[in-house]
Amino acid sequence: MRKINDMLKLIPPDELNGGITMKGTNGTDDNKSNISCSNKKNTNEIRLRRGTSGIVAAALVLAIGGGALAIALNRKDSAKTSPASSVSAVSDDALAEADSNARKVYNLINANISAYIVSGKLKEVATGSFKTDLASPDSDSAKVLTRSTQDRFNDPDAEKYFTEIAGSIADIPETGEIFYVVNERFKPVFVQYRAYEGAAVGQFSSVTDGRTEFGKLPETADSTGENTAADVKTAEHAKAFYDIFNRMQDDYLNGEYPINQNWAMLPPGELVVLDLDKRDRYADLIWRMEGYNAENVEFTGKLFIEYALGNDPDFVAWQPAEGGLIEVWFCNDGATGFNPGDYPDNETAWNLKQGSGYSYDEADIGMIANEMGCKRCILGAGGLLQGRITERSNMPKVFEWYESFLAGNFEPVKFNAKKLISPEKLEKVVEYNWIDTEKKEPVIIRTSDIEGANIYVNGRYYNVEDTSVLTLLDDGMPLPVNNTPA
Amino acid sequence: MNEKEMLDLLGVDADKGLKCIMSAYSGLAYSIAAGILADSEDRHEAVNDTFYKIWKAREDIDLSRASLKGYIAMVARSCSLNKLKTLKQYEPLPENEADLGIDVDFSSEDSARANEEIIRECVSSMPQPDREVFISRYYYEKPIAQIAQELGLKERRVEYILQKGKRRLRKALLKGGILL
Repeated sequence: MRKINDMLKLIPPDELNGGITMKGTNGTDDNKSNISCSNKKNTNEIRLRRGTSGIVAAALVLAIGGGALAIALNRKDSAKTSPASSVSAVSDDALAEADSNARKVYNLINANISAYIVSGKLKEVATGSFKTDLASPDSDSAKVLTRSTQDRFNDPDAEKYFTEIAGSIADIPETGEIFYVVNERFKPVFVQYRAYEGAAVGQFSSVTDGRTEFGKLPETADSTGENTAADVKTAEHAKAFYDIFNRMQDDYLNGEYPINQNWAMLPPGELVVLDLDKRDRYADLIWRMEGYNAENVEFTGKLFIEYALGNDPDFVAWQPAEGGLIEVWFCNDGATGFNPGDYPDNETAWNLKQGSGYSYDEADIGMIANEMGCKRCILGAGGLLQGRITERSNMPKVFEWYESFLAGNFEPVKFNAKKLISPEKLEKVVEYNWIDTEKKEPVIIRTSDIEGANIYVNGRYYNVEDTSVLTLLDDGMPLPVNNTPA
Repeated sequence: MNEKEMLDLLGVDADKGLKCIMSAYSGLAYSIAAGILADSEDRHEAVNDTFYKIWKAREDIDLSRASLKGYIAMVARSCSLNKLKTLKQYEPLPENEADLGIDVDFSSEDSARANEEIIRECVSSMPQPDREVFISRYYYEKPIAQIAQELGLKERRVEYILQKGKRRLRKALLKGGILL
């Protein structure tokens, strides 16, 4: 069986990397590589190079550079005709019609992007500036200029947003040239339209009132554009949820009194879709989340969460309750500084949204299960974390208990925050967690920390007769040598 | 001059041929060595070894099986890793980590090319920093701690990215690859 490293060695690294040298391998004194390196913010260049060899990429860059030079020379030759004069040379009626068409095209682009976002297929949308022909758009532009949702989405919301935003499809011009900008938060911010070269250049923009010649970015905004205050607010709201989960995770791992791991234990089938408006159903989790709500954001709407088990949340997508777009905060821990658009891997969330639970296949579940092991978190007096151990000899007994528990089909006890026992008052807490590979669900069994329930299983509190699983540790189980989580 | 002409020249005039090949591919070899070896002298040595081996194997290089660039990249990687081993700084990948759990067919030229193309496409389309993490680990065989430090990520995150990348590659090969 060939290993990944054995397979990868057959391919030169620049080809694996889409024609880009690795970070840290360029710019060295002895490295005279003929492979160029590009700024990761220049997403168009990276996209262009994907799937091409370094040499072809270099040729492309040269060709592009040459083209730019040719354009610059051409501009110099025609400097006597200023953009302003060419704009003023067209009639007001023609300009108004071109402006109207630019607005319609803007709506079409916005409708398509909205449908992609709502469907969780954001990674299919390219950001940056694009110049294309409406009759025969390039592949990136074609995705945002399509006049129906066709079979691209399997989400009624996508159709709804598309139809509402696009308006009358029949009115949108089918021919002509456009230049448009989609910023890094996937907002179209600037659209120009002209029926043909030399025709009036219509414009619709949320970043500038000034006009520019066709294909030129306005001076007031670069390709990233500026978000509106409302955009920023919703993005911050989504970011706050991401931060809340991170803080909870950090506390779970390192806190003096580790929290109940409910945030990772949403009910099976809806594992990572958290409806914040169903407060009764998710009372325990929402109550705990509120403790970490430093930003004081309103808990409403739906959260789509991707995380690695026992790991940081990968990203959080938020769909405000009042509708509108799902605002996405991609994983960005600040240290790496990559942009939101660099990490649009929400396919997993999409799969999860469909109620499929974990998107991992059998082998992955097995692998993760193996990694997770059957760890027991041992919390001593006061709920203080004594450590975690991975010891499997007693786990068959735990599994047996769990099976009989499931067969009992017990009714959960309703969570009531007022009945919560603070960690300081808990005498002992035992926790087991592993992955049920058949059901593809994580399992957590833990000492209850609310009055009126004597055990906690998978995000719910129960009062059951047999809690023997919680006493397994009493039979001479080894304790970790220090207080550091293993 | 194309690769075949370079290789032919190497056969008839080693000096000119090697000069020509090095002029085209020393940058590639150095960039691979730089991904594996920290010391400049070590890199020079690994690159020298690379082109010496290419010269030595000039009659066995079959351009219908792989490009000259591919051969040079493979040899440069191998020489750099060997150098790392002699320096006792090489940490081999754990046995199970690099295993995808599937048997990918590299026995024939056609299947090898088809599978290579899938791997190339899959890895090059990974978003950043996933791609850089994946290549650092499975091409340059860097330790996880080193990757985390270089990219400013937590080690657990690097591990997660690698798991995700492996899932993606496995899925791509299962979907379109040629398996045994």
